[in-house]
Amino acid sequence: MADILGSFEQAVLLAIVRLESGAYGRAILKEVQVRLQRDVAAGAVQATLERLERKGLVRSNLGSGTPIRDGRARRFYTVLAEGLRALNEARKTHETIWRGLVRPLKARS
Amino acid sequence: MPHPPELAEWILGGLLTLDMRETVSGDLLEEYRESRVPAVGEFRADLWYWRQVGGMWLRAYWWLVVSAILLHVVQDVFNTFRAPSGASYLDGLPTIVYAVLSPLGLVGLVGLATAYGSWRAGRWHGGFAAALGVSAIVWLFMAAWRNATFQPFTQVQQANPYWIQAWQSSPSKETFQHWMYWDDFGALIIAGIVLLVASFVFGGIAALVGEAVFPATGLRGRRIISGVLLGLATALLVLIGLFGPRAVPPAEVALWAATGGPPLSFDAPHDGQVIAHMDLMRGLPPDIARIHISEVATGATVWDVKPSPALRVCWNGCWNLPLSAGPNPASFAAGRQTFKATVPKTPTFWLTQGTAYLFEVWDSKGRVQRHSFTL
Repeated sequence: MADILGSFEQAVLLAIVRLESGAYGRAILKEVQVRLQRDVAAGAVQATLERLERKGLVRSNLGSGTPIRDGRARRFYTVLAEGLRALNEARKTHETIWRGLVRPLKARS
Repeated sequence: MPHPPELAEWILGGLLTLDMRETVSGDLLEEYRESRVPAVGEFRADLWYWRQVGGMWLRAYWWLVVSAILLHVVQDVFNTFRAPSGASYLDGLPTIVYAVLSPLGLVGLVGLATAYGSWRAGRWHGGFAAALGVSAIVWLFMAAWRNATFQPFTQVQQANPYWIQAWQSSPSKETFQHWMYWDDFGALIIAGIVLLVASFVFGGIAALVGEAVFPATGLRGRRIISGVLLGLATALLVLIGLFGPRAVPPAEVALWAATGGPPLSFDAPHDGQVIAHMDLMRGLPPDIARIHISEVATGATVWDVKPSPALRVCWNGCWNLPLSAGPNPASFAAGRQTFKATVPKTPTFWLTQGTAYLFEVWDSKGRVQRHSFTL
């Protein structure tokens, strides 16, 4: 069974899925910020990407730089099959936990 | 094109791992130039950049900072709380534990930070960025910690024959608290110098090792070294956890730090007597510049005293001023202070049962506390 993903890990993985071939550090950061609707530290995203790569859920390869980056290379990320499986499992677990409950939850009067 | 602060870029370069340096710094630079500067201007974009670098630094070295801070707290607590003979409660521990918990342990931790930093970044200044950061944060914590714990710790030391003897054998003729304050201040300066020197010495050595040896280490070797370092830090935290209950509860310290002005509270009157408490936590001496009692109904001054000289000392365990119906001494001695009455001129002042009085006390900064009482 794959590791259970944390919600931030899911947000980063889903950002890579959404961005497809354009998933590099800064683009992922912006996508996560938009989805979570809050300012996210670049270090938090970077640490998560490194962790996901160590877990074998994503892989990365270097791309070319641009003038605005002073020519510094970009690292593009791709979700691997194991990563997709972990995402699907997280979604399934989420739905199982919520099944039978009416959302949003309301306090009993 | 705008450029982020050079120092922040330099630190970032010594912080990131070899394989991430170019891409991560490029991401930050792109975000800085394309989003932050156009949106909020260069100054706030610079602040944002510093925040990102600071966050990354903390993510990399937080465990070293936490270990160093806890180590200092344990050292200070065990230096303060001693047996009456002056013996440390750590004396019975195995030598290796004793060494770790001594000031040597902190210097060793700075060495560890430099080794880890230079290995992690694979760059000569990686160790410096780690060691100087750890040293600076720990030193700032030391200053805050000593300030916050000065009064409660001094109270404990004032009751210990070992510290009293040390005070009496010092050449200066200051009060115990004054002597202790300057002793602490000197220790803080020395600690800062030692940390700085240790950072540079270890930084130099570890940077060379970091450049020469660690980059050649394979992934497995890196993981083993990480494991050993984390194991050492964990063992340190466990040790501190074992000795934690001996430490002064931080909540008490925070309470003292947050409270200002002359403290004042009254017991409920009984048998024609009331006690005015003018200390914190029943042990911290007040800073009193004047005490004044007047009748609430008429405003007439009943008693007015001022101290000479102005000191913060404990008296009558620590500052409990009994006020009784009938005659009370107009002037009195409190520790090394003498309180002389300007009103009345007679040796005693008179309080009457059933009359409401207003008690006022000022500190040397002119702040006043008031409390009404009836005997």
